[in-house]
Amino acid sequence: MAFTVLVVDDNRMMRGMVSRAVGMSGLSIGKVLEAGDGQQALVAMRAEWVDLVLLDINMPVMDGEEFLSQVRADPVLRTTMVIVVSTESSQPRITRLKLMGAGFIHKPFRPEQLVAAVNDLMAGKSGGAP
Amino acid sequence: MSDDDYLLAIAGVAENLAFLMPTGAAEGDAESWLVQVEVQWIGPDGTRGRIIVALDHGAAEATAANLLGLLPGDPPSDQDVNEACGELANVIAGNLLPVKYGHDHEFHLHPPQWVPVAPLAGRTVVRLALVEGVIGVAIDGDADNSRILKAVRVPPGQRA
Repeated sequence: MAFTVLVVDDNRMMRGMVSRAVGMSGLSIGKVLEAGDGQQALVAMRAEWVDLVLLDINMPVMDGEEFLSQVRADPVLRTTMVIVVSTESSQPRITRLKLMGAGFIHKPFRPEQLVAAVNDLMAGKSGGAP
Repeated sequence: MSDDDYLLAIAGVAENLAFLMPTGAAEGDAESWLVQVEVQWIGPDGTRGRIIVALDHGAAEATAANLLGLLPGDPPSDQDVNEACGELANVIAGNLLPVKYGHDHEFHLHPPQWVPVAPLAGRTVVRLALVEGVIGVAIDGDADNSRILKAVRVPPGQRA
């Protein structure tokens, strides 16, 4: 299966970096889409099937936590794999994100950490999937 | 925590995010910054502070070139340099706050703001030498970390 990946980050350079890391990860990638905030990401996900979202937290318009809540509340999108890619280090917030079924990678990260996070999500190790 | 703890965190970001090559603490207080970026934060109980990240010409251009994957001899534009330094500052700030305050507290980081270049000043100022140049960081918090630590130690119902 080739993944369609959506990279959500308000910084275009970081989107490029994450997209390159996706390409170097060795995962089977079909297509990489990009969005600059949570609202753009929801629009993209309703227009095209997305298998995996790589999500920043601190973004304007709609931040990553709100985006994740909306995805989990959407009957069509709710099972989409989401990995938060953030500088976030607060354990309470990371726990909250994991309870919403998201994986977590701390910025900066290496491509092999992305592979491990995807494998964990697919194996159901992310925390309480909704 | 010591300046070494901060330098280690900054070096980790410089190396792993921007593929820069840290060499240790920069000697002297020379200030020849090209770009300065301020990241303000809000922590528990309304505590707030800011982290200013300054890059000299070499560090700023190398950061932009590496983040964009530019080829040697292909210089980044001024906009590329500013955006790259903004993202580097954002990630540095996110990695320094837990060094200073631990992992039990939630912080909200404001978007990076480019500020006029000036000598670095603050409660803590550290400078990291790189093969490519120098990164300086000034860390300012609300009345050091005592309010934040107290905010977490004291149960909400017992706070003044």
